[in-house]
Amino acid sequence: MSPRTPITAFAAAAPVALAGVVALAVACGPVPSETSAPPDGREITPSGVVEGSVVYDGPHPCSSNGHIVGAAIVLLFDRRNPPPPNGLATTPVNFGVVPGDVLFASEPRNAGADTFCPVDHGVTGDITASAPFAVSPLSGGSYLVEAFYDYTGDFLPTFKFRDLPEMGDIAGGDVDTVAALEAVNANPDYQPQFVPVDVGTPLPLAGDAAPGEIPNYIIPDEGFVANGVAVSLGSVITTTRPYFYPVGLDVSFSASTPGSLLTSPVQTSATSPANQAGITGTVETNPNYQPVLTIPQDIQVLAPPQQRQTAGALNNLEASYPHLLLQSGLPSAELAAGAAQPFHFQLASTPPGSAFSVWQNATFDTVSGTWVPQEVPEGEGIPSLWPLVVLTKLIDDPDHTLDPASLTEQGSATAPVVVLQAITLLGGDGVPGDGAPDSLANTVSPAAPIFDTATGQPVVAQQDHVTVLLRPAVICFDSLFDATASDKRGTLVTPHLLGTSADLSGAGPALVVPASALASPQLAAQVKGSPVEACLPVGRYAINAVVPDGQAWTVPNESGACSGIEGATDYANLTCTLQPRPVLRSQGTRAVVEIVAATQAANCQGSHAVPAACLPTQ
Amino acid sequence: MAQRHFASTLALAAFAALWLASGAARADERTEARAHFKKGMAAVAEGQYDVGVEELKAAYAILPHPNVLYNIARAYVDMGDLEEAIGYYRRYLESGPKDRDEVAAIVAGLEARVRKQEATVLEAQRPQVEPTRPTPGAPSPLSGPPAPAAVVAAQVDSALRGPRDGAAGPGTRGDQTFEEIVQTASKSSQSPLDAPNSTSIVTEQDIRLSGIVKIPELLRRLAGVDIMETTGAQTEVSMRGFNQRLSNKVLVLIDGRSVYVDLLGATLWETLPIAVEDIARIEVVRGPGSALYGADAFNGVINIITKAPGEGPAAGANMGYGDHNTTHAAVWSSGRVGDFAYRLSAGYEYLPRWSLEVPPGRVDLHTFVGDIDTSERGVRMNAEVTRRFGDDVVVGLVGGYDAGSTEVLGVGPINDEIIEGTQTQLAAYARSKHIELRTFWNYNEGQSGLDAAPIGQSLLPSVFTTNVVDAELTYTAAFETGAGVDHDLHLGMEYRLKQVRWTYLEADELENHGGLFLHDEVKVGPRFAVVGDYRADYVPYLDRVVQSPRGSVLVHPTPKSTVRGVVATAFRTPNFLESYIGLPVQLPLAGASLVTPTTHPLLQPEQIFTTELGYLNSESEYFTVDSAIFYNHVHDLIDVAPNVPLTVGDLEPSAGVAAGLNQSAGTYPAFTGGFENQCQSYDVYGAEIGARAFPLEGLDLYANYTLMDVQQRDTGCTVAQAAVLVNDARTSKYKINGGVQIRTRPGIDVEVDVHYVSPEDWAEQVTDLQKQQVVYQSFHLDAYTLVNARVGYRFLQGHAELSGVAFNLLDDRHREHPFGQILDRRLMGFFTYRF
Repeated sequence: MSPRTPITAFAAAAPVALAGVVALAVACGPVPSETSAPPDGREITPSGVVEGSVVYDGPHPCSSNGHIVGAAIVLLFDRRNPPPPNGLATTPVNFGVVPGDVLFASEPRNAGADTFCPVDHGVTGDITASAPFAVSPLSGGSYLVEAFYDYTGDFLPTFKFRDLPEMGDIAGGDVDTVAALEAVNANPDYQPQFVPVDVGTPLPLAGDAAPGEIPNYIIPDEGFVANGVAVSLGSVITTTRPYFYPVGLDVSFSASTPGSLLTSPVQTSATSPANQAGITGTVETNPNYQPVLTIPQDIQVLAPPQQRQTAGALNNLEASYPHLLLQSGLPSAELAAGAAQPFHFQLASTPPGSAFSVWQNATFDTVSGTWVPQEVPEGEGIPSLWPLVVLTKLIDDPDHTLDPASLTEQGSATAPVVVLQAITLLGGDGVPGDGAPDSLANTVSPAAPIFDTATGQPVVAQQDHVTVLLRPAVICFDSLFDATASDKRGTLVTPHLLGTSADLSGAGPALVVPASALASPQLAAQVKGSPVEACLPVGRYAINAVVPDGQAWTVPNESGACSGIEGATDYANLTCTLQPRPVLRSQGTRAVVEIVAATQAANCQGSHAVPAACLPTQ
Repeated sequence: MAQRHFASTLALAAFAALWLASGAARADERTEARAHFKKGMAAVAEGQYDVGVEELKAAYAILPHPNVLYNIARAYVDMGDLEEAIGYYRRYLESGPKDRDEVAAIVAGLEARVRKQEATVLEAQRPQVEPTRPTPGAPSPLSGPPAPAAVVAAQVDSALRGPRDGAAGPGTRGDQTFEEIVQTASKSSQSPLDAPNSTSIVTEQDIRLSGIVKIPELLRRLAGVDIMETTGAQTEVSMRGFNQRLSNKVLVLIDGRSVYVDLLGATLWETLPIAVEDIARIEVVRGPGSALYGADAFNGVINIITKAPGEGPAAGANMGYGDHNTTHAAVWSSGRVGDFAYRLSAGYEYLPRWSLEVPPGRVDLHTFVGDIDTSERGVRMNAEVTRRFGDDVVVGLVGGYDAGSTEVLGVGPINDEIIEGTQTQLAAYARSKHIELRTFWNYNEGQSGLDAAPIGQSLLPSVFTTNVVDAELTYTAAFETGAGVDHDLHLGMEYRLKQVRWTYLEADELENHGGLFLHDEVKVGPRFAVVGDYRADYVPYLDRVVQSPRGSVLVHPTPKSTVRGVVATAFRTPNFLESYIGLPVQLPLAGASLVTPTTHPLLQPEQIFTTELGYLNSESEYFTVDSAIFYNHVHDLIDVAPNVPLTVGDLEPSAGVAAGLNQSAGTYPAFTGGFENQCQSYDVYGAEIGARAFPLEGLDLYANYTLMDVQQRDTGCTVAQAAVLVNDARTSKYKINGGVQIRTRPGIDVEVDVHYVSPEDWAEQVTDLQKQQVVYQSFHLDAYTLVNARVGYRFLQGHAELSGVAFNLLDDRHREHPFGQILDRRLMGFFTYRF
């Protein structure tokens, strides 16, 4: 060992000091936080949470295999984009599930494989049960919380034919119970008033914001929890979903016989096209994709009669509109398959299979405490009838490679939602069996009252079909998915603002969309600004029928064609080539309306070209 | 930045001044000890006994080795100092050598001579009397049976003859003393010059001087080894690319025993029952190893060789404390009683996260364990006992236990995961000259869950238990087949049972694996050798046999240099999660989940083909050079499959999809997924060159450079598959490691390591919230330079040591994985005491 030198002594002391300093000075202090969310940081993105409890008050649940059948489904919708009938949202922003096993933790259950439903065995009393729920992640916003208990156990969120409540399910939500009590009776027009649930911190509205406009919300850095949300389930749904398949109609009107309007079915989604009647202009060469009806994008219709609303004038007006017939249920050949696995349509396996319920819409006037029957926005004495029929544009997929089953509706941050709303006609003249045709004239002047103002109850007609007129206009919602836009309303586009009056006496041009229509509560809530005179966006449009309790039916749906993953649709054998399963042709790729190219290209040029608000951005 | 450079330059200058001022110092311990040993043996051979003994003592002081004691004893015999000789022979015997009986007899003979000499002296001083002859058959003064006089005389004569013919002469213990050996490349001890693969070693000195307490971090200094710290507790290791979260392409062994977690197909380093204080060295074999080790030795093998029972200090403790309460504690004890030896160790570890993914005050999240700071907290203990039977047979028992929680980044879009549980390892082995039998049982139990998730989103809790039982029998024989052709033959068979019960799987699983392997090293003269390996493994999941050949050609241009050519293949079988996943993964759409069909397609094993040309030169006492160029072709890597929307066809019972409500998860299926073999393949071209130099006593330098060029081939993909791929290089093109170790006689030790890693581009799978889909996304990682340093001071005759350790001294804040935490500077102080 060499003798110590000052430097070695210093060197010996240094590490001791260092170790001491290290041990004492550096041990404190919190672990640093990531300063941002991905992609710059790893902090879990702050999000919103809605939590509360589900309270069930209804029939005893079914059980099998030791489990309670079904679950409570809690659906959250953006208040600015609610689901039909008040909005267009086809899917919720998010949804949560409270399994039946959790909600009914103490309820006895059948251990066997068969499904045991106490109601079917004479147990009639209701039970009450509750359980907590939480739904996340959510962006900042104001939400509606709708809910139902999937009593039948058939709910599946990914398929249009099983993604909504059906007969037997117990509906509810976070509803305004006071409003519900005011409108108490079994009125089919009743629509629950959902309580807004705000998530996040509201941002100030612009100075020119419309009254009642819903602000944008942001999630604070620490996240946001909206708690204490009470979801009530107690309204048993007593009707089936409005199952249908579409039929394209041909309409003929002769001024020489103005009292009669002839409509005839020319195309049906249940079969391949036998001819091209009613589907002229389609770009589809594959018969299995040819629509049941086409509308030229520059369609010209008549304006409502300006002088005298006669049956002839109404027939003249109606004849200028495209007609679509929704045949309830399924074709006879498909009924058995539709009712069976995997579809579980709530249809009788024998014809007629199903029936539409048709009745006039009414709203509850909280001031007078009465139900007020409603007309369509255009007025003219045309009642607003359920089911509401709306066409929604599908994504552009000319080769059918992205969406081989025609299921994907347009609507994203880069592609607007485009809808075309129809006018539902009364079946005949309101008197069953008298042979009166479905017509605008009969709808405006039914042979029997369709609404009892004294009781506030509509007369519900059971029909095996519904005929609708397709308006020559679309509404393009290009800000539904823009988080920065507080005004979610769309742009109304119609090819011609003016049209020849439907008066048989030959009156001059008049507004196709009356100014009063735009001022109506229905359109005012959906349309911003003035109508734009331009051509309609070409493409394929799905068909939706909606009723007030939220039940709906859409074609095309997954039952009608194969998804591509399942292989190609084998129409000869009605199965899929890779994953064999039944195919219901009537619900398939023909069940669309196609807006086709203009009858005259010049009509769609310049300022009349399809507005940017209606087109996807590239 | 300029200040940083100035500071680091100043620090290096201070270290250099300290080293220069400290006078005489020591070089790399093993190299320096070897040099002293050679000088000593040469001096003894030339009759310069005093010089020789001093050199041998110097060697022993640097790095104790029992052979040195033996040779010192022999030199003392030659010098006629029998009492000193006996003392050193006795110390040699304390190490429990194989030839203890022979040496004990020598000691007995020497003691007899001493007594005789003493008696002679006494007799000369006393009046002459008739000497008393010992009664035949009477007990010897030494324990044990008396050695026949003739035998003792012969042995003592042999000892007295001394090493006349050089350092490695007959009767000496010098051939392999202080020579570097590796065991892992061929499952037997050999020089790295003879190894059929590129090998690297992290020595005990490297471990001690680095101050690193995370075992995988010790490997960062090696060429061709990819290290990434993703969390405080998770450091992933791969070789020659293909690192990933839960890295699964390197087989990690402790003393030849697999610690691969079959559940995940990964090594959870922080759950190992040993600590750095228990490690004698770490051997790293770069390149495929399936030909010897079967599945999962895909692109390398890491064998942690622990300190043998009875070797080293009798006991010790090492305590460390640092930033954010980082704590390391280790205690150990080792001893030998005759043929029985033991080593016991225990420890505690607390590692904070590098950075928090859950900042304090968040109201929208719930957590699995509530503690948002901790990445690792655990206790461990390990015990090994050995018993020698005769000259050749050694039997050992090992038991290890670890308990605690550890944080890892999972696979695919599943990120931060907390695993709480215990791990128990029991092993037994018996070794003889020709036969070796090893068996072990690894048992894991515990629970896991995501670190945090929004309230309403599942933490994916799970409960697991696994049992792995393994038995391996190896027959070894060395023989000649004439004409100077020598064989070193190994034949072996292995059986492994894996039993898993895990919430994430469809069902409980039990697998029986089997393997047969053959290794033959054929030496044709001193300059040329061919090594052939072949292994056949039965993989139950695949229900077939997978074959893994390896061939190497070794040419020695000089006695201590090697040119090596290697061709090899390897495979990795799908792990339990990949094979049998049955986990509904909740989607951001809270009521929906991703499910796995029971009828998903069979996964193929991941495959690698390697060809390599290497050169190793250790001729000089002052430096060694190791280099390799290689080409790898990798295909069938297993990845999370893009999720597929549920179809109507999936509702049919034959589809094997649980298509309805999952009552326990509270979700409905929306997508099906799982794992799949990638359609893309990879060609990897790489080179490694490294040198370690010992230019002056006390100064040890190393530097290495790794070049990697990963080329992704999408030719096996459909147009649709290729459309969603992004380039995945994930490995730095350039990596440079360098370091300096300075050891001084005053007891000051300094080590500085510098690691430069060039930018990386990763393809990782993430969940697209809009599409609710798993999609590939490209991530770029910037280059980083990591500087680690340790300053230590040994005192109390080297029994005690104080040290300060800095990780990422320059505070180059960086991520080593796209989802990894940000690594900043961390400091720790240590106190070590060795009895």
